[in-house]
Amino acid sequence: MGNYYFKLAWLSFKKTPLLSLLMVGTIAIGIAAAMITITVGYMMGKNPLPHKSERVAMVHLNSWDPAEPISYRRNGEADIPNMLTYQDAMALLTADKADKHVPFVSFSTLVRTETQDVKSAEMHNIRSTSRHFFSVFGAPFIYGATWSEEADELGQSVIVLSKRENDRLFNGANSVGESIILDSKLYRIVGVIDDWQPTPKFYVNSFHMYTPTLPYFVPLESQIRNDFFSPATMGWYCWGDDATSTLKDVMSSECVWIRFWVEFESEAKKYEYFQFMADYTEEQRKVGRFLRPEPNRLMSVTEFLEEEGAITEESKLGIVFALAFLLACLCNVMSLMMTKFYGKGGEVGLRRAVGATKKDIAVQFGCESILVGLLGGVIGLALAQLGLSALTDMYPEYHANVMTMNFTLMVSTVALAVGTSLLFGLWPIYRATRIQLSSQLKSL
Amino acid sequence: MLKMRGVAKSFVTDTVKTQALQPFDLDIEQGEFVAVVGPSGSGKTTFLNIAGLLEEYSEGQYFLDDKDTTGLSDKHKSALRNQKIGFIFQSFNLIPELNLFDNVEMPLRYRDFSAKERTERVLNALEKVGLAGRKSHYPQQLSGGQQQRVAIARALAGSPSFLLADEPTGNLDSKMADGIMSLLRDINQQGTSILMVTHDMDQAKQAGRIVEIRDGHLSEQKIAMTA
Repeated sequence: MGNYYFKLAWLSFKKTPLLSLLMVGTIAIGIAAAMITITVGYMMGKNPLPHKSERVAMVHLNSWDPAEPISYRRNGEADIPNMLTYQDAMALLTADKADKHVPFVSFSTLVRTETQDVKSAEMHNIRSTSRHFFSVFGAPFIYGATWSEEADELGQSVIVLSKRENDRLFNGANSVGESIILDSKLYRIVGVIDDWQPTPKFYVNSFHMYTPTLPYFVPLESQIRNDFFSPATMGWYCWGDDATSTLKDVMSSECVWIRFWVEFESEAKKYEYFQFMADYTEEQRKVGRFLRPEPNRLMSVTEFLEEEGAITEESKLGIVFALAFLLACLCNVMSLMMTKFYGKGGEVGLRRAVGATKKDIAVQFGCESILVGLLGGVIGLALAQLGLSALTDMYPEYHANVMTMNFTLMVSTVALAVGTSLLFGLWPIYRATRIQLSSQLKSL
Repeated sequence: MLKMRGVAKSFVTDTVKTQALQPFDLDIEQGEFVAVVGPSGSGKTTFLNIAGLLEEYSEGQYFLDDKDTTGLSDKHKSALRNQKIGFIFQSFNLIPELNLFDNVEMPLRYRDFSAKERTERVLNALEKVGLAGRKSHYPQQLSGGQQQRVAIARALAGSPSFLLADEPTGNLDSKMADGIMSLLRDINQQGTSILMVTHDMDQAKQAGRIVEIRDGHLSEQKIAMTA
């Protein structure tokens, strides 16, 4: 019977093509507008590490100036730094209380292969971190693997590249064992990671959450040993009068510049670690540091995203406006459906006369609403893709992932169109089933 | 087959009560061909709507094949209309975007017939009205008389107890009208009861009985039969 009703729906669609297309077009435009904003909002705010977001946490230590806080939070309370000093990062690494530690910073330098001349070198940002970066944040390897524990400790000149850079420099071949030159230092390639773009890029602050991931990764200790120092890229916050002219200055200062993430095998261990941070703070107070009253923080991925405001108020407002627009479109569709179904009073009368129940009529027109919604949804999906593509071109600073619908969103788009079309068709359908039978039989 | 006892219809507004049909009794037996005549506005259509379970009656009882239809739910009335009554309308009431097969099949869609049985019934019905060869044609490709034949096939397809025909030749020229009346007589002679509303006394006389409605009063007419 379902096939029969959809056949009738299609015939009805063809019978009044202009009216039908108007309904489909109205739904398509409303759905496209809604889904563009919903997609951007959803992709910006989704949990990038759903299987372990509560076991991966960022360490915030309050090592700041006792005279005044580093900044104020949105609620007006004094904030604490979300980066660590070098000495604190090293102390946490040495204590080794978490299962995995990921300190990281970035610097910029010229990169080239051994066969390229100096003029061909390109300036790139390099992620300087630990070997656990990839497993903790879920970066997949296509060639090789991360570097060894020894490389972390000794600061060996080893490097992991992104697939994009590997394609550029080595035509996509397995480059493990090859070398590239950072400034004038030779780095041996140990791994190549696949295209990888967590959205949002949760391990950095909100300014960089929707930017592309960095293309090169080296051990933090190797940056120090090779003295890579690029003040503009590294970004630190200082208080007091510490010098910051050299990398060694920054390392020995009270400046905060290292982000520090940890992973635990269980959530229980996270609480033990928080206690360890409190103990560490107490120790440091004894030597005159950590004199501010605000507590330390150990923020899970979801807490950090919330703190950083991964979804802006503007994008939330955008979603509200887009849904309001969709509502207006659907009200128009409802009005058009009333017109269409009213015009079919004669057919309803005839069908009722020959035995159709009110439910039969409701199902028939329900299928017609579903068909209109389905076509509107599919066209809306195409329009939304065009819109997102245009947005990607307009906002190159956001990674394309933010402007890309995943499969769930695509299915949701069509489902939303069908669902809302059916919902807003209920009143016209109800009216159609209530017609006076005897009055309609002369109007077919 | 059809038994009405004290059936009446009145319309009540805030201030006025209009008696469209005065209380009447009527019996129609299986195989009868009954014509309903009367001037415009006399209550013929109201009577036909009540007989076809398309409109509620205000008082009395109406038995269809011994089943009391008083107070039946909409769903049960739909089922009765589908199984017991075949409708033939003055303006044919075919759906233009459906071909003849689909038009005739329509009532069968609301009954639990298999696709095979539906097909057999549709083809048989079209065969009876002489249009089996044109099952894929659309109504607008047919003459008025042919369209009414399709409507008759649609009414017959479900093997109803009786046909309710509302001015079945009203939109046809005399030649086509004669053809339709001839077809209805054949169908009646094969055992299907027919209740036909008409203005045309010549056609009414072709029925076995004539019931006249005048000013809401229903009465048997004693006219010599010539058919």
